[in-house]
Amino acid sequence: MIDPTVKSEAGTKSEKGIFARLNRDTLDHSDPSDYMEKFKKGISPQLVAHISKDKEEPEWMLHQRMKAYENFTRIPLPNWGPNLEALNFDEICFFAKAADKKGGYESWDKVPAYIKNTFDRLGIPEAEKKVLAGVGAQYESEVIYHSLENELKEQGVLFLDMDLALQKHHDLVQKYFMKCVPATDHKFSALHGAVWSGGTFLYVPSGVKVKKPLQAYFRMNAMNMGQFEHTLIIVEEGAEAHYIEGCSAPKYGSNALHAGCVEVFVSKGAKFRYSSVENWSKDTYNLNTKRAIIEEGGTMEWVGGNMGSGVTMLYPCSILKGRNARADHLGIAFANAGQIQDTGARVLHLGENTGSKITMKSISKGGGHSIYRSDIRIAKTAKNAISQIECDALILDPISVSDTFPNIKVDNNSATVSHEARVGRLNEEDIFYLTSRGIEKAQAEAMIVNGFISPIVRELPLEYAVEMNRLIELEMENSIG
Amino acid sequence: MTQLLEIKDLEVAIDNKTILKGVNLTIKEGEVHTLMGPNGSGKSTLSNVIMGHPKYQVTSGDILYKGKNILKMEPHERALIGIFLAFQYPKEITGVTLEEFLLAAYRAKQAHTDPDKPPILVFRFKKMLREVMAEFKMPEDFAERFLNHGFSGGEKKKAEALQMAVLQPTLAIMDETDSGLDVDALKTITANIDKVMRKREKTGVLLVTHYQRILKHLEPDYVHVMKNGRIIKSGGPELAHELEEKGYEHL
Amino acid sequence: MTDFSLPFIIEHPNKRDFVLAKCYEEKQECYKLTIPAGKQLEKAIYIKFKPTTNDLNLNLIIELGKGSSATIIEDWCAEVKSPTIRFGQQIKCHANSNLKYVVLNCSSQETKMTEKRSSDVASDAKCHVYTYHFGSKKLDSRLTQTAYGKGAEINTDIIAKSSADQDLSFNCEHDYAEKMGSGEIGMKGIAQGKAILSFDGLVNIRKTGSGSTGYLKQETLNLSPDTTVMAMPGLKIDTNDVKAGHSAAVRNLSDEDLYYFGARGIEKEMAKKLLITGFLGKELKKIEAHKTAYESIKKLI
Repeated sequence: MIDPTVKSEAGTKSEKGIFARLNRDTLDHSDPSDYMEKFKKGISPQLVAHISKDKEEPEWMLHQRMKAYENFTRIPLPNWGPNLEALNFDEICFFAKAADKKGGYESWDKVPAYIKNTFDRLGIPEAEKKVLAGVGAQYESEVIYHSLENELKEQGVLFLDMDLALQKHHDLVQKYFMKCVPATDHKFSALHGAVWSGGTFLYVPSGVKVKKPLQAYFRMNAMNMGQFEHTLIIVEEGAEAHYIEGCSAPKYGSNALHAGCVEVFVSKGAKFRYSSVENWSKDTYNLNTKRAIIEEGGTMEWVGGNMGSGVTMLYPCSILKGRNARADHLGIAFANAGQIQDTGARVLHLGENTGSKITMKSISKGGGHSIYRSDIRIAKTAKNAISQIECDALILDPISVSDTFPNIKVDNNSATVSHEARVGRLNEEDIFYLTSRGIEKAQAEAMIVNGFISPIVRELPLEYAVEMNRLIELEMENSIG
Repeated sequence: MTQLLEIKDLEVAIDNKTILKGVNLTIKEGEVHTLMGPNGSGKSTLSNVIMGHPKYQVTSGDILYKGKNILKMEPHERALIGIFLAFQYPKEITGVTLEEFLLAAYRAKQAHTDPDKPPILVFRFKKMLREVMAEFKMPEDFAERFLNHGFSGGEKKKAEALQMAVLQPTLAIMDETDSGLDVDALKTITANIDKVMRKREKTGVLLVTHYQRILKHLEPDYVHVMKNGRIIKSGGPELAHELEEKGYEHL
Repeated sequence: MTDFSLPFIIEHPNKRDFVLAKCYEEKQECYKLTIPAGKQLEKAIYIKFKPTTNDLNLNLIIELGKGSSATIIEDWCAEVKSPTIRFGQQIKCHANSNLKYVVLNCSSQETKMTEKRSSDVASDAKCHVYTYHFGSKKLDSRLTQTAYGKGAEINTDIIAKSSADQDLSFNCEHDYAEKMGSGEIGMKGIAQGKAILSFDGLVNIRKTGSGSTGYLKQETLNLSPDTTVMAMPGLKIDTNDVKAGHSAAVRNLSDEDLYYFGARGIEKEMAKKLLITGFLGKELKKIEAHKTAYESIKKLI
């Protein structure tokens, strides 16, 4: 994360920017620190305390972590959704420090050919390839960041690593941290509350409209591998911004569990879009929690693509607190062989005249299982609320599966809610038409699938849209996970 | 001749935005008035306010019908005393057939004007309806179709005029009835308006229109031009010809 | 066949067209109504539950032999004031049979009813279940139809109206276990008064159900500020050569529609009645032929 106010100079460990860490890392790379040995796997109160100490956190954060840990031990696994019993908490590494990163490959030579090919196909720039493969390399594009840094600095926008934000903007962080997604919410938010590390802090002051999307280039940092990162976004009155998280390139690593958290506070009249394309490697559990609270006249947009991971449970949630608040959810889920994509949306209408629109497209292939779950609630106070949900599923072959389980609860009779879903296969006629024009069948199918998801893809910035489409083609071609 | 409709200094707003800024209009029995004007001038608003649409707020002024102030009356009460509005964009109501709808409306009117008489029998009403439909050259099966559902624009307008012919109002307001109609349909509708008027000389008509076409078939007694929420000019039929030649801008 | 010890009366012009027998089950009273193979009944069989104030715990089995067809109407409207009713039903439609099964529930507003109905439909057989629920203080209704033979057609229409203090919960599942099954679940509700109206539906097309078509539609008119309306239309599709879809809508009557009616002299309450009847339109038309049933239902709207 870039902290525009800090240069990578001597200071406390946590004050240095990531580049400082990166540099040091390539030098220290070969010997993992001894003291990390005992914290390699499993979770315990000692580990939680260690994490807090290592980051030199204030007392209240340590206290919050410990409480969250207690909740984690107490709350059972959810009794719905994909089976999570195979998750063995004792085998997971919960705190991968820079110098002892887990996963990735030792050197570029050791990276398997098919991974290298994927990167080529997706057109990933050289510098990024190595970082993605976890090989760890110098990041050369500092120039870009510095100019963006200055722009943001002028506007008063804060955009930095979460750990650093806790140090530098303590009061602001304390005011909002885990107030949107409390640690008591469910087992994985509790886990997150205990072991969170790194992530993004974004603060946009009143009236500031950040034109350029703030991107994830900043987080090519393979070190954290984004397991338990915490993203806290505060958009003040009348402000506007767009944040893009994740990258469509596959992340290879053996971090079994991702229990991250994204909290967004959209103030009066503000507008925020959160785009993410998640494509974790296929042996991971992606159990992130994403939620936004929207005040009067505010707008929140969730645009997401879920491609990878073994098991995903992801239901971005919008709480329409103030009157005239609005939420738009656009999502794609692609479940390939051996994958379970259990995604959807949750919206709670509290204020008057609030509106929500959910558009979800899911694809399942090669035995993949895609599940759409939604929870739309119209509270008694939500006069004249309107909610519209549309979800379509494409099942590409006879062995794949698609489920849709919407849940609607209306407690105010002036509200109008409508939900529609269709499930089917690729239209033979369409494929025939394309192949009769000389297009190979697999490609034809990919074209149609891309067309199917285009209403959502076109909301992504161009380079992500392009990558998304290429990813689809890749997924369509290979049935190997 | 009695004053059927008297609008005095009418000011109307919606969501705190003023649309009608002081409208004055008088229609007497037996008269045909035409209200013309560019889009957005407030013509439809006026029509709906006379009918009593709840979304408009009358901030000042009066509407008198046969000398009585009707501003406090609900739309259905206004319909029962003889006011009829043929809508510009008639609603599609699935589940309720044209026949059922008109029967309910007809019986409601009967109960109001002749409370001692028993309501019309269904088969008698159906017969009467089919006769009127034939005059409008409307296929019989339209009666059993859901109200306006699947009707083309022109068919919807025709259906509105048909409803008017069945309910026999005293004040008929036709909101842009002519738009979207072909010549034949226009002729049929205007012939029927004419008939309604001649049958009951005490009827008054307010034709709201953007175009002139309808005036060739139904010569108005008075022409009013509306602009920016006010009637800016009134005159006889020659005003219509003037507008045809010179358009609205010159006024 | 009218037996004074039966909890219901069966009415039909020709009592030899079907067979009614008592079956033996430990926990409940159990009866079986069989339509012999090949029999095509023209007139409907009425099963009228008798007025009673005792708890009722009953299982009713309906079996249609190969190639038979019948319309059976189950009527709970005759002042069934039982405090608790536990009703179980198994319907079995053999190959090429055709069953139209109508349930009219206008039992008293104090009754607590739990009904569990299931139907198994064989190849090329058709089973259409219509249930009209206007009664019960608390109702827990579960209905599962399984298309277990090739080309089976299963359809379910549930119409419910809740008024003051009722808690009505419906769960309907269509299970397409064999090829070329088809059918639709339609759930229509009118929620009025301080009540809870919940529709839970599932269309399940199994791996073995390729070529099947399954739809689910839920629509509720939410008319009062105190009601809670829930809609959970589910789809579970395990193979891709299918056509499936679902929709759910919760809304109130629109002010514009009420204004249109008003502009034609039709006052609010009358307009609402017409619109609500229109909302149920098709479903009401389906039982028009059965005058008594039709009239009872119309009165309750």
